[in-house]
Order: sequence, then structure tokens, then C-alpha cells
Amino acid sequence: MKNYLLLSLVVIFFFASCYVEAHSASGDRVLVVLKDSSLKSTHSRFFKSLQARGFKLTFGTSKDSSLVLSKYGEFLYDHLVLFVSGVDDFAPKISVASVVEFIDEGKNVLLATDTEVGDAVRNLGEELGVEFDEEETNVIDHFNYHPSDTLDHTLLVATPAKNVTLFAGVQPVLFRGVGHTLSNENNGLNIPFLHGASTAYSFFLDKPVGKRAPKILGSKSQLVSALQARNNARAVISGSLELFSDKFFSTDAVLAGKKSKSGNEQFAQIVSGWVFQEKGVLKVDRVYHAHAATGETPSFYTIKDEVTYSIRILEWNGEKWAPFSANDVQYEFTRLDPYVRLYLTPDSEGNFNTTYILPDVYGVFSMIVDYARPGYTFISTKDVIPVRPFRHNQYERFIIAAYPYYASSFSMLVGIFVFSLYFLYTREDPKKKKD
Amino acid sequence: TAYEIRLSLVGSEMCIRDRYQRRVRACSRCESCPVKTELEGPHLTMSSIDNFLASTVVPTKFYSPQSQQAVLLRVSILVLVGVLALLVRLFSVLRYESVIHEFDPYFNFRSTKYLVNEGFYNFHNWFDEFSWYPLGRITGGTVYPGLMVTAAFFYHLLNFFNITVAIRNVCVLLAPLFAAKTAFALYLFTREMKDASAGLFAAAFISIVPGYISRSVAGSFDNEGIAIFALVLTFFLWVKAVNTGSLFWGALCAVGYFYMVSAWGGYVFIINLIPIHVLVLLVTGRFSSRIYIAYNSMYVLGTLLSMQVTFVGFQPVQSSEHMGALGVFGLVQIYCAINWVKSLLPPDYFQAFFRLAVIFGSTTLGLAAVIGVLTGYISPWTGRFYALLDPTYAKEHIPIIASVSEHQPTTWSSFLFDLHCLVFLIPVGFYFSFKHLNDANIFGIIYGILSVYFAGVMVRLMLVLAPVACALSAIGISSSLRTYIAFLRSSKKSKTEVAYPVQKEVALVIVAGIAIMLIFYTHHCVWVTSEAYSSPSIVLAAKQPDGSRIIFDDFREAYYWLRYNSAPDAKVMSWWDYGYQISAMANRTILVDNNTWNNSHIAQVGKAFASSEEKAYDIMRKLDVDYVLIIFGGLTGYSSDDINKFLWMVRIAGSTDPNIKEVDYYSTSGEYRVDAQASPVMLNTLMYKLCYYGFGTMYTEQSKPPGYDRVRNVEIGNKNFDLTYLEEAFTSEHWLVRVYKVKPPVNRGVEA
Repeated sequence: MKNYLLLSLVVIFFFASCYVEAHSASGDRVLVVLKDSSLKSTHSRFFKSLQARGFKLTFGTSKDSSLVLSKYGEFLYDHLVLFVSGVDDFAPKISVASVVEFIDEGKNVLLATDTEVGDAVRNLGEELGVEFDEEETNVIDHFNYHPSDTLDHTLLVATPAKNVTLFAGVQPVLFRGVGHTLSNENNGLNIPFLHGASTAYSFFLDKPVGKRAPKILGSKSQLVSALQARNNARAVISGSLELFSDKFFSTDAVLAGKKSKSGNEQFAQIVSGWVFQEKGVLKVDRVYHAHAATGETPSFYTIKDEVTYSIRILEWNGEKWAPFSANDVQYEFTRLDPYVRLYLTPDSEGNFNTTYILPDVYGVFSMIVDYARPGYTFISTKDVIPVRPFRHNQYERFIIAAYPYYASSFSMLVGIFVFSLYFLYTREDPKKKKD
Repeated sequence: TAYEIRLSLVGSEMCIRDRYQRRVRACSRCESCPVKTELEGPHLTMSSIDNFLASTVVPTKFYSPQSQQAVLLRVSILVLVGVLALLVRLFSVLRYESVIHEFDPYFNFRSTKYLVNEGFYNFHNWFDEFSWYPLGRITGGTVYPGLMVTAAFFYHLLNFFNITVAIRNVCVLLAPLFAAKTAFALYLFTREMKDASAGLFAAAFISIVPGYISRSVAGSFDNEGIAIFALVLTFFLWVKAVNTGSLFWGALCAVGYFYMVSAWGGYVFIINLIPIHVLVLLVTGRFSSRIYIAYNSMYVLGTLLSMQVTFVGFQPVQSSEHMGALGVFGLVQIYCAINWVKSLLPPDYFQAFFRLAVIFGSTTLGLAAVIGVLTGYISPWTGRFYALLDPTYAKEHIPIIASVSEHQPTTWSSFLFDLHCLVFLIPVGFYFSFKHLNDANIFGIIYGILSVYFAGVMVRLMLVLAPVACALSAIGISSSLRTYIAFLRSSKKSKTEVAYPVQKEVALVIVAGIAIMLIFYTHHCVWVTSEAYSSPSIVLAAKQPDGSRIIFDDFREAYYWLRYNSAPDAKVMSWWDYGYQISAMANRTILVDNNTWNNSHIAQVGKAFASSEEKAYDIMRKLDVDYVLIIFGGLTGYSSDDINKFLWMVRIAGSTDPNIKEVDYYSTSGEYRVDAQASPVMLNTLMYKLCYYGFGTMYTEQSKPPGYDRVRNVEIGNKNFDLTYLEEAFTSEHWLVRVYKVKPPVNRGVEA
């Protein structure tokens, strides 16, 4: 009996020591579908970094018919890595439609391909709002190429997008592969992570430019882009498989004459961390609004009330939900048009507060916080609350401007009384009438 | 005495003479009447006549020797008339069920429930966040509360006596009850104008006149149902006040007016008609102290009281519609003041004074009016008022008013339909009124002429014409009958008149003719009530080929579907006609409703319906729409559906957004159609798509292609289309009501 107990304890400790806690906010099961199994060794550093961060990787190739995304209506994985090209389906049992469904159910996909592209990748790209250039085209830049690539100028050195705060301080990244464009640049869902310089273009290597203009030109040529769907599922689309390779991780990058270690490893880590919901994950903990004076939350407000609004936003820091801090969280008090738009004041607890006076307009208003920043979960809360006009007894009873009217009405009352008395109790002298 | 002076100023000689004659005539039949003896005294002066008349209420009721019998007869006739008025309005309850009808009554019903449940102060302050999303509506301050208060009063009264009646039944039966009261009020009014027998005729006429029944059948829980009673009552009290010159009746008239103001916007008719009456009396030299007292007490008290209704507020002293009454009020004072001054000053001094007064007075008034209009203190006339004066105004300027079917000009046939033989009897009434002209008759004549005009401009004002048509016809019929029946009676031994050869026979024929006409009138009225005015319009009925009745209960089916299947805070977009019904029956938030107070908001909804699906989606997202509800009659042949109303949506949308042009929705030959020749814009509007979604494969009639619209009698032009941004949520049994759900924005920003 004691032995069993000891044994179970040992087992427990053993598993506990093996267990590395996942850093993702949404699960640690990852399916990796590879173009061929050799990628596992050429990209070993990338996969090791994933494993080191607690993800449980399941590897398979695109010919592996045992791979399935879901079973009995449940998804078997939380994230999907697709390192494929030149295939019609990602795996015999993983179609484009099933991956789309995977995303629509809130799961995440990291897609990387190369110049072979293939129908599966192209179609999935369309579903994710990007359009790959034709097969066998490369992104070419005759100005921002790596010195080692003197012939084709396809090994590009690019700087990650500056408006995404995740990439602060990342060194230039090496890229070789196919370019893509965003079908709808302004929908706020597709974010460029890495794009070509203004001198980049995408074309076939073996055909002369001239007869046909390149389809993708300049900074519109996306190298790596991301999609955060409205349900906050994330996808990253990379036109280069090599970007994640051990080789690129260890190559030096040269940009504008400056030589540095390539940012690929760092970039890959950030991108995978972002797409697998380790970074930039926010959630609304609570929303609170009330009368500023009493602290009570009513079912309606009255115009010109002083109202406190507070929203608590938490950020996933890899281990737990910690208070989020930012200075640009805006609040809107809207009825068709915003009547009040304010920056919320953050505090150390992750609360964003404001106190304001309601406009002198009645109606059904929405209290909206719509915080959408590239790289962060969309925060969108909306509380609908009616704002009523004053009740009949909430107006001021006596107003100074009306004093003349009060005076006149009371003098009228007195006057009628006096005159009535006069007419009732005086009698005209009958003699006078005769005159 | 001072009183004498005042009288001699105010009362013109002619008027006094008239009154003198009238009273003497009235009293000559009564031996014991004190008036006669006193008036024949030696010290007869003008002032003593008026003094006497003003202080004595002449007991006209009891002048007949057989008074008790007559009273009994009269009361029983009136009771029967009341019962008749009540019963004839119950067709709809017996045939369908005790339901509220139409559109507006649903709002009144909902408000009444709110009033009963929440109490008067909450009702008074009611801010309704479920309608006009997201603007909301201050219902308490934008409603004529008379109807709800009356219904709630009866409800509480019945419950106080432990007669537990549901609010709905009180509401359903309120209008018939008030119809009976109207008959009684019209009896009083006509009696005041003519005599009791004419009053009885008038009561009998109004109890079944279709023009009034149209708005007062059981279930028609609308303002007009009680407002016509209030209108007739106010007129009775006014005529009574004019006839007696009594402050008491004047004050009662003001109270009646207050009830009218609290019940219906049509009170503007009263506050213009009474001043016109006073003005006419003034111009024709019939002005007297009685009228002075009646008008002043009525106007001052009535205006003060009417301003207590929140919705009316300061309008009685600000809006142009009420300026006439204010002007006549001032005029009456000036008239009296000038007469007073005239009596004090020598004639040449008075001439100078008069000239000065006129110049000074007109310039001040003119300045005040100009300043008032320029500063916006006196508001301009409302669109409906303009539409009354110029029937073509609304169509050109305010599509929202013109779009309402009851604001259309009246056709001749509907005069006959709603009034039947009264149309021909009104002139007879005019004739007899002119023949025995007095202050009350003049009121009846003015009322008659004006309401005939207004009824010609707007269909719904037939309602205002109906009472006076009944009163005038009653006077006509009563006077004719009196003449001819006298012939029948007196033929035995005629004392005075020369007997014509076939006098009796002619009289017989005419009396029989009148009787037959009245029988036809009764027949027509009951038939119209039963066939035309007793359907609740939320439940439709049709006859099948085999004669059996088929009931379309699609409206309630769909509203209850919404009630039980959509989220409680869901917002439903529909054309404004259905707003009240949705909020009352489906209990969901709506964007626009029958209280068309915000034209631009309605125009937004119209624009959504008149745009392509993609553009409409943006509008609907902006307005937080969850469901779209449309009425479609193409399968059943129900002609007042949304496609037939669609042009109005386009016009109303076009009145705020110049990009929506009515021409775009017509075919190249300029017709409004939905078949293959319709304009492509029309075939791709949201309204078209929502109505005809899936209709292209439906077989509606034998030997006709699929997608055959039975209202427009054409095969629809665009059959195969899918909806991108909406999905069908519910379609009622006969496709009358279709509900669509607005899809959320696509998850990945890529349309499927």
C-alpha cells in the first residue's frame, strides 16, 4: 500500500517536472502540417522555440491521411501551423474549408508558403483576405537585397512594420519567397507585418519585365501579413518558408550598409507568439457605469446627470491576466453620432475611468469602448442605456425670471377680491344718476 | 346704471329685438310663463329685457301641456337610440373577437396599459425607449391623453365595483359607448338649434351614420372615438352659452373644450369655428352681451385649460392656428371699448378718437405680428393645416402627410357612402336654418359649410362633417315632416289655411317618401357597418370559391413569432405603418412608428428600403437593426402591402436625400412596375428583394408562371437572387408578413 502511494507520488512529481506551462491564453495543442518531413530538421530552431514555450506539437506532412482537425465535432487542436506549398489540400483530410471553419471557431493559423503556392494556400489566402501572386514569381528588390544574393536579388532584407508595437526593436528580417497583396486594405482586420520597400516588385525570375507589368509593386507587396478576425481568431500569412528556417535565423542581415544579426529568430518568435495568442491578448474584465454621486447603476439616466464610466481591461502576460495599460483607450457616448468622446484615464489596476456630464439630449444612448490597435485583441463593448428628459417635478419650481409673472398673478387675485368687495358693498347714489 | 350703459353699448338694437321676438314666441305656448307678463309691462326698456333674459333661464323644456308624456317618449327614444348606437358597432366583436383594430389603436391600447399599470404620473413622464430607436419618444408629452385617461377611468371604475374587466375589453368597447353619448350630445345640440324633435332625429341619424361608425366600431380604440363626443358636447355647450349668455354655460363649454383638447388634435377646429361664429355675429350686427360673456368665459378658461395638456403646451398663444381665436378675443374687447367711449364722448371727439385708435391699434398689432413671426415666437402653420387650405400642398411639399391614405381628398362616392341621404338633406337643413335665423342656427350653418369643405379636402375629416350633417338633416326632415304632418292632421277641420285640392294626398306621398328614404338610410348604414367598417384589419378575411370564409391571421402570427423568438432587446425595422403594432404585439424596439414626428428618421428607413442590399446594410448597421419586417401581399392578393407603399418610401427618402430619385424607380415608359420591364434599380432594392425572396419559384395561380404577383398581376422581373447581408427568419402562413434577420458583419472581412 505504502509502495503504491510512493509510486504515485513519484509519478506525479515526474509529470509535474516535465510539464511546462503553456504561455498561450487559448490552449497549447498545435498541429504542424509540413510540406515534407525534412522541414522538421531545417526549421528545428523554430519548432524548438515553440516547444520551449509549452506548446505540444503534433507533426505531419501534407500527404499524411491520418491528420484530422476535428473529431466528433470537437477540434483536436488550438492552433495550426501550415508550412506547405504546391498542394490542393493541406492534408488528405484537411481541406481549405475545414481550416476556414477552424478560424471561424476562434482558432489560430500560421501559414507559410513559398513560390510554389498551390491551390490550397491560394484559396485559403483568399478566405483570409490576401491574394498571392502567381506561381513561380518572387518578390524582387534591386536595392534592399542581401549581399549574398548578387544574381536575382530575391533575398530581401526588410524591416517589420513600425506601427505594430510588437516589433519594437526587431532587427531587419530576411525574406525569400512569394508576395501577396491585401484584398481589402481598410477593413481593419488585415495588418501588414512585413512588407517590401517602395522599390520592391513581384515577378517571374526567368521572364523579362516589360510585356507584362508586375502585379504587385512597391510597399503594397506584402511579405508577411496578419489577419485578426472579428471573433479574434488570428492568422499569419507568410510568403516565405525560409524566413522561419534555421539558416535564416543564423544569417546576418545587412541593410543600408549596416550589418547585424538577422531579426528572423526574434521575428518568428514574436509572430508565432502573437498568432498563438501569447501576446497582445486583451480581455474586458468588467464594465461599470453609475451615477457619479451615489455610485448606483440605474436602469436609465436623466439628461445632465453626472455619470462615471469604468472599464477594466486585462492583458495576458504569458502566465496570467495582468492589468493592461494604455493612454489611448477612448470612450464614446453615442446616439447615432457620438455626443461625448473622451480618453479614459488608466490606473494601476487596469481600470480605465472617466466621469462626465450627460448631454442635454434624450434618447437611447450606447456606451461604447471600441479599442482596435494592430496587434491587440479587438475590444468592443457596448452598453445601451436610455437617457430620459426631466420628470415634470424635476424642473426648478421658482425661477427668478418669472417673478414678474408671479407678482402679476397675485396682484390680479388681490385686485379681483378688492373690486368684488367694492362692487358688492357700495351703492351708487341714485341722485347722481339723475344728473 | 352702469349695467344699463354697458348693455346699451354691447347689445345692438337688432339683437335685442330678435331675442325679444324669440322668447315671446317660445313662451306664447305656455299660459303660465312669467316672461310674457313681465315683458308686457309698461316700463319696457332694452336693458330690462336683456336683464331679465340674462337672469332667467326660460323653462323651454316644459312648455308643452303634455310635458310628462313627451319627456317619457323622448327619453325612451334617446335610450333606444343609444342602444342602437352601441349594438350596431358590435359586428366586429361578434364576427372576429374582442381585439383592437388597425394601427393607431394599438398605441393607444399600449399606452392605456401603461397608464393603468404605472399610474398617471409615470404615464405623464413616460419616455418610451422602445420606439423611435435610438431617439426615443417622450410619449407622455407627445400624446393626447384624453383617450387613455378615459379608458383607465372606466377600468378603475368598474374594478372599484368589483366588476373585473380586462383593460382590453374596456378599450374595445369604449368607442361604441361614446357613440351612444354622442347621440345624446347631438340631441342636445340640435335641440338648442331647433327643437327637441329635430334633436331626436339628429340623435337617430348619428347613431348609425357610417361616416362616424368608421371610427367608432368596437375595437377601434382611437382618439376620434371619444373626440367626436367631446366636439359635439362642446358645440352644444357653446350654443347653450350663446343662447343663455350665462357665465356658467360658458365655463362648462370651456371644460368641454378642455376634454376635447385632451382627446384629439382636431380641437383646432373648435377654436377656429367658435371665433368665426362670433365674428359673423359681430359683422351681422347680432352681437350682444350674451355672446360677449359666452366667448370671453369660454376663450379665457378654455385656453388656460388647454395649455394644461403637455402636448399642446404654449401653442394656444403661439401657433398660427390659434391666432384667429386670440384676434377675435381682442376684437371683441376693442369693439366693446369703442362703444363705451362712444357713449361718453360727443360725436366729433369720438371721430378723432376713433381715427387715432384705429391707426395706433393696427400699427401695434401689425408690429407685434411681424415681430412674433420673425422671432419665431408665433410658429408658422403646420403642414397639415396648409394641406387643409390648399389640397395640393401636401403632395408637393410633405410626402409624409400625403402618403397617409386618410389625408387624401375625398371622392364623391365616399360622401354618399358615408352619409347616404344626408348629403341631400344638408341643403334642406340649411334652408330651414336660414328661414328661422338665430344665433344658434348661424353656428350650425357655419359649422356645416366649413366641415363640408374640410371633408372634401381630407377623407378623415368626414368624421367632423358627420355630426353637423346629421343635425342639419334632422332640422330639414323635422321641419318638412312638421309641415306635412300638420296637413295630414288638420285636414279634418282646417281653420286657417286655404285647402289645396289634393293637399292631404301630397302630404301623404311626401311623408311616405321621407319614411322610405329613412328606411333606406338605415339599411345602407347597417350594411356599410357590417361590410366595410367592421373588419379589424389585423385579421383579414376572404371568401373562397365555395363560399366559405378563409381567415388570414398572418399579422399576429408574425408579431408573436417575434415576441417569442427574438432577443428582448432586438430592434425591428419596418415601414412606419406597422410600428405601433410591432411595439404593442411583438413588444420589440422599433425604429419608426405611426407617430410620424421625425421625418428624417423615417426617411432613413425609407432610404434603407429604397437602396440596394449593400447600401441598406450600412444604414441598418448604423441603426443597430436586428430584424427587418415587411408586408407582402403578392401571394394572397392583399393590396395594401409594402410594394404598393414603396413609392412613398422613395418620395420620403428623396425629401431628405437628393440622391434618391423617384424617376429611377420607374420603368423606361414611366410606369411603376415590378415585372421584367421594371427599372434595374427597382429590381435590386432591398424592398423588392425582401418581398420577392424565394417567390420566383412559387406557383400562385393556375395557368400562370411561377412568381406571379397577384396584387400587381404580373410575373415578377427578378426571380433568382440570393440575399447576402440578410437571412430569412420567418415568413407567415400566407406570406403576408416576412421577417428577415440582419447578419452580423463577416468574420474575416471576406464575403462568402
